[in-house]
Amino acid sequence: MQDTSVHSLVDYICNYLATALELPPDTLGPNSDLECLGIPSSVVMALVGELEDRLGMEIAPTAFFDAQDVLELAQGLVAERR
Amino acid sequence: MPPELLTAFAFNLGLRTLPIALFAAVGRHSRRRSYRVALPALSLALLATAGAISGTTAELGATMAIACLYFLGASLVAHGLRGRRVREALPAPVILGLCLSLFLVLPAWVFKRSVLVPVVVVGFDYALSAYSYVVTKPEQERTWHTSLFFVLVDPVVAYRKRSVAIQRNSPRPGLARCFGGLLSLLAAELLLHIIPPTIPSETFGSNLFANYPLADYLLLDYLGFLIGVCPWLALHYLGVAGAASLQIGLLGLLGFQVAERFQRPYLASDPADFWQRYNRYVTDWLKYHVFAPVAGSRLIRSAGGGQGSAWWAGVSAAFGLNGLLHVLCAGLLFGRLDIRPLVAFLAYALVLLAADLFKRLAPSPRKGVVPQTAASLATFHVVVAFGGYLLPAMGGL
Repeated sequence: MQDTSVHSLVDYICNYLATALELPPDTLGPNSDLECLGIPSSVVMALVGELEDRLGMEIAPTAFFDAQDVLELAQGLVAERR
Repeated sequence: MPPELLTAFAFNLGLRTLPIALFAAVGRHSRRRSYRVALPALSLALLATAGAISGTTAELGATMAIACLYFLGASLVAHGLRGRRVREALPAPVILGLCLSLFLVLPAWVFKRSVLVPVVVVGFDYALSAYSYVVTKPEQERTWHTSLFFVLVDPVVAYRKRSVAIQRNSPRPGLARCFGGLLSLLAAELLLHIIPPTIPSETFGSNLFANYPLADYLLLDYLGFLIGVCPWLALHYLGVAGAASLQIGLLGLLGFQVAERFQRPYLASDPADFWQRYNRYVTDWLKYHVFAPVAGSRLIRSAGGGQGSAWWAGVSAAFGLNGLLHVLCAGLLFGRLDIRPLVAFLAYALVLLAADLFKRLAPSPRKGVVPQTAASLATFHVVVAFGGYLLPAMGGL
């Protein structure tokens, strides 16, 4: 069973985005501003798909655009899962 | 030389600046009392300078003030439309139609030829802001101050969860930014003098895009196309980026940190990256209000095809709507139905699909496949071709 705590989700999202955006692994953290990163919509959709598989639930892409930073996104997803 | 273009830029600046001056004067959010006098005075001084640069007449200045009053009234109507009842009773396209009618169609009908272009350009942004304001669930009490701020003052048109409250930081250095905006306008005027009249034409003598090379683009070779189109794209960019700088600078002085609207778009590394850099406010609006709902809709998901198909559906919807909005603007400006903007935006969506497929099929990350400079150069050509096709339609040719 996948670890779906906020902490592990933050790590997963940061690693995923760092790989997709070709950034050094340590540049992203819980407080990384999602808007400032300028994430392409194709990456957003791919990440939504990965997170749906991981959490076993449907995720609206708007959740991604609503969140201020990685931590808020992870917290929102974990809260929705409950 | 089309002097109307400079007047349009100045009018554009005026329509974006006067609401900020009004907000600074009457809003309860000015930290220091002196700002209530100083900032409006500074706004008017900047505006007068822009008017002097462009040769704007007193009559046009008066028309601009009347147009501002109209938009102020319209923002109050938008304030009246907000609320759960409207959000639940009316489907989103109907609310968007109402906002477009109020901020775009009606003013375009009221304000005729001499100021029509800036009224349509600014009304486009205001309509999108008003839609966001009406459909987004509020997290704070909404007063007429908030409608003035979010519809007319704040240039970020996607009013979403993270920006539902008026958040003021300490005043920021914005004066240099304001003068940067004016310099941008000045550069646009200089450019107007050096753009070669590639195809002199009496027919388009009174048109903003007189001598635009694509009037007869089939006669042009590759170099002629680039030489002809690039200055016009630069001219357009200097005008809109100048207005954005002035707006960001003034809001900085007032204590509001606003995201950048343009971030060196012509250096984009791929066709999708261009829209992360060019007019980001509208891109974000389309992402939030069109792309995300369409890509995440049950209808699209139930059709199968996975996230790739959902992404493609969302992108098509966003670019399709953007194309239709540009068709509407061109129709209001020139009184005719011209579907070239729709074709241009849908073609760009196809380019994005092709670029996405290329990335998926490429054996390693794009930096390893195509050198960055070559990728930027290829993107530049895509953007120039897109702009070269779109601009004549938006200029009435």
